[in-house]
Amino acid sequence: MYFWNILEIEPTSDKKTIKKAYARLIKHHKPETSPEAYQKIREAYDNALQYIKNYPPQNIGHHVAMERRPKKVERTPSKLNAIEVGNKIETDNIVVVEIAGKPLEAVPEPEYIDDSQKIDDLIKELKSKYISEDDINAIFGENILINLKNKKEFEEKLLSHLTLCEQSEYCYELAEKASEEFYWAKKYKHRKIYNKYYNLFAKRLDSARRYYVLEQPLQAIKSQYIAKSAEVAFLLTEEYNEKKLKRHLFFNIHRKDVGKYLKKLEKENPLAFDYDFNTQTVHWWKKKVNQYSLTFQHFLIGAIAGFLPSLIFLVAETEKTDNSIINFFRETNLLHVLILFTSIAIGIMLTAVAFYMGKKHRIYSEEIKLYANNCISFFDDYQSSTTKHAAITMIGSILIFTGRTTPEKIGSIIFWAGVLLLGIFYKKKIFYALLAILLAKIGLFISQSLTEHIITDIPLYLLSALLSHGIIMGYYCRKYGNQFRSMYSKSGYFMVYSLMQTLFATMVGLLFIVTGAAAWLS
Amino acid sequence: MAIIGIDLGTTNSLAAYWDNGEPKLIPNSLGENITPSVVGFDENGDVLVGKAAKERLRTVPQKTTALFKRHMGTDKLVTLGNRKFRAEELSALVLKALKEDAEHFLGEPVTEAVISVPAYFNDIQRKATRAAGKIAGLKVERLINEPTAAAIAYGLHRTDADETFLIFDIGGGTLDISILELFEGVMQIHASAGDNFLGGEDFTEALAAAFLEASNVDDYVLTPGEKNALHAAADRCKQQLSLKTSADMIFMLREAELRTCITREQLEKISSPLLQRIRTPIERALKDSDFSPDDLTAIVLVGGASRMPIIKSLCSKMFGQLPHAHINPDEAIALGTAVQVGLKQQDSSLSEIVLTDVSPYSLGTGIVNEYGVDSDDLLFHPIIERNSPIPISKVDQLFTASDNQTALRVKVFQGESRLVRNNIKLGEVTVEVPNDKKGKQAVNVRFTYDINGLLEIHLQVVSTGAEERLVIEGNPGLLTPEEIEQRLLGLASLKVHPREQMKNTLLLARGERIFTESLGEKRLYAQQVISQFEGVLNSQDTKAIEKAHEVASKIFDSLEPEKLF
Repeated sequence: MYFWNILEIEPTSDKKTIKKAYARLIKHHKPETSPEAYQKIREAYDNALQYIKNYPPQNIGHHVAMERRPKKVERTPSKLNAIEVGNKIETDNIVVVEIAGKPLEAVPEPEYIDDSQKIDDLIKELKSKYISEDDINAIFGENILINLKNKKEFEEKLLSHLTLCEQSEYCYELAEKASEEFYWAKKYKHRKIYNKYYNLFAKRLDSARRYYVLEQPLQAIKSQYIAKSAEVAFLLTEEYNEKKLKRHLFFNIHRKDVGKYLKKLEKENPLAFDYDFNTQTVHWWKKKVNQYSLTFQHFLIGAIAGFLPSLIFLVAETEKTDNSIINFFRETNLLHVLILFTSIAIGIMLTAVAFYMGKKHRIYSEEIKLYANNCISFFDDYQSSTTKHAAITMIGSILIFTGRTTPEKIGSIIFWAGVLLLGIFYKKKIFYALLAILLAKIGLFISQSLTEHIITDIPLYLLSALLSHGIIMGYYCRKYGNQFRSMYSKSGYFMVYSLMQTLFATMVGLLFIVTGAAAWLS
Repeated sequence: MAIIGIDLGTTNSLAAYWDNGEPKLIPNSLGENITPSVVGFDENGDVLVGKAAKERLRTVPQKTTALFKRHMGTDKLVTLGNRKFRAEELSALVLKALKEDAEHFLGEPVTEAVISVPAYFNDIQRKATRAAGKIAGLKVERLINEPTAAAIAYGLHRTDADETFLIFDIGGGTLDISILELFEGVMQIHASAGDNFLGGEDFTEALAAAFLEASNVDDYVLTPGEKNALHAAADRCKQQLSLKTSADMIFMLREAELRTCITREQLEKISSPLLQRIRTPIERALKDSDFSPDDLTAIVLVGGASRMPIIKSLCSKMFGQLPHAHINPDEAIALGTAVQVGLKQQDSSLSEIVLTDVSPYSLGTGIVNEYGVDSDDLLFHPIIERNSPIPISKVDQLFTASDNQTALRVKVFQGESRLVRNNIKLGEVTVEVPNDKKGKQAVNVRFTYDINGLLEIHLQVVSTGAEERLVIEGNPGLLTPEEIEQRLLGLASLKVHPREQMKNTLLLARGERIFTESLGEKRLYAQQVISQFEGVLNSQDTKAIEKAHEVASKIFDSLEPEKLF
């Protein structure tokens, strides 16, 4: 941070020190006599005050420690270009001067492994703190930007950051500068390559600017909303550009699909692509959220349906073998009634819980949708693949129920063949499909050795399938980067929620059926 | 060759100078520090400025005028006798009078002045003030904002303090709010806001209107002289209300005496729309400076109208603290301008003091609205935001708006409105760009705003490197330099009333006013005193005149017991 250098003080959290330094400096560089020097000092002073306002004393220590290590005093601020990135310090043209008569060695410049790392760090840096004009100048100063091999990647990531940035006032200056640097406004006017998101960005920039000038908080809220809807389009387009992410097992976003999705988005909601904002946009978002909640409900119903045959089997078996539970019901009438009522009560309670969970989930998913719309595409694919898994699980289970010997084996073969086919369907991912089979086989073996009873097998099948699924998912997510990683953790909650809901719903069904069967028998 | 500081007010003006580390006021020919900003002509066609002219507002309204600062920066003409004057010229006459007083007092020619203007004066009004200085034969390099001047006067002996305070400057015609921070000898203005048409005179007018309504008299039946008299009566009543809780407002209208008792509560009710308007700039200044009322360590009231108890109580209510009362609200600004003179001369006793100011308005240009409904209007695109510290230099990039555009015109505006047509246009500059598709050609536009309010626009075409410059200078406003020169000569031909006779002229003018305003015996008595005094004046015996003057002023004092100031 340059302002410390310009003010000729060590980083501090003490307002008084900053003020003293400022007062001392401007007495030599009075606004009347040296306007340029004054403007620079004044900016540094304002930035320093803003900085300590945003970063209260406890956080500043960290920065202080980092700034102190190189112990450099800089005398030519206009030439300097250094940026503090993570815990590395990159330097350029720094004039090292002696302090207390002892020459200090310059800290060797750490080499970056590749550009992407450096860009990611820069973006992270931009996201993490208040950006002063000096920082911005440092980034856009010739040295750093020219040294970047992949300037385009930086441009796109920066654009992504700015489009999603919540604190428009902090991003404003950066956006202005970046826009100037990369000629975004110009590109936007070309309406050529980046038609979609440059368009949106330019509009957002404009509205933010207006907000800045006219101080209309309402306008700011509007532009944020616009940005949210723009986000979806933008992120999808970004993936579209990154060829390596185009096709794989779990995030199967196709080139075609993106185009379709964008068209759909624009068609469904022309307002989101327009400057103005009205209630229809909110309505559109609500509709979108409901749509995803419904998809989830479908999945829930599918899961319950998967368990129903097993319950029928249970009923059939208890009837056949003159089970002790039935005897119990037959013998004591009072207790029977009591248990009947209790089970109904528990059933109602659990239904209520399931409903509550469902509602909670809906709220949760709504939040996800609103705060991280970029998850939409992910959920889309995730849900479709889980539905496929659930469907195959169902087929397998039904086949297993038909007999305990040969048909069971056939069923299990078909089940796992389905998983294999799923793998082949996604091309080049046979290895992961085989891994899934292996893991599922281990699960099957464990479940078989633990108990002979078939009902307990099914959840274990499912669990092992989910387990393998999770492992593969995890593998991809690690590759997917920070943004998608956080998204995945959200989807992890989603998974847990849906699983719990499934279990609750199953228990409800089970209890009702048990009591129903008992009543029927008595 | 002295430099003086001038507080050119709506109602009163003052001059001051920097005297070895201390600002001092310059008395006028009557030995008073305050010179009313009133200009008129006497029977011989000589220019009369100050208190004597003020007395003549009632008796010779067609040849006397006041409150012309409100017309600064407009084309409005005031007719005095058979000549028409612009507000710049009338102000120049006041400045000239102050200049002569200063030359007389200091014993050396005064060539340059620092003049205070309301912080919220726009560029055109500032230019008009500079033009007035030029017409008066003064070099005006620096204009200082009135609240800033008051702040310097307040902060001069508090260089060790660490304070944040609000200057509430309500003069005769303008309201300015400035928020300042004082630390380590730095006086930093954080924000300025104001209202150019709100001041003590508005309260007086509101009171006069309320009086007319209470007396069932229509406004339009009054002659200009009667209007002036009514205004004076309302002013007297207003001033009495600063001391008493109720006061009688007496007005002689064609042989009839109108009298209404007005209480402080009534005044507060009458002026409630004005009080409401005071809040707006205060809130804006606080918001722009990012301070809350609790951060303020002091509220400093300056300007004549701040003597009004309703203003004081408004301050107490708004800020929860009593306003600072140790500075003279009438003199603070003038003293501050003198300190600015000292700063300008780089006086060694002021080397530890730095003053940093802000630009009260946003400066920017107009851009084509591409996705709005009101696409016919240019949108205001600020480049220097309001309340930015000055001097400042900022650059922005603009693009061509249509295909085959060959030139790019940058219009310069000052103001806060979204649409440029509601802002004030300061000038324009055109730069040629290569013929190209829409948005392909860019121009870097740099705005440099210096401490003297000089705005420089520098354009550079990105592709060709062609440059263009525009300097919006501090001199001509609505007047061109030639016109200023012309008016300078025009005013030079006017004879100024001899300053030695000022005292006696004032007495006669006062006597005439009392004659007009009185009835019956009182009137005859005044007539008699005036005639006697005129007789003594004709004798040209200095000692006798002095004695007669003393006697006559005592008689007039006894005839006007309610006179306060």
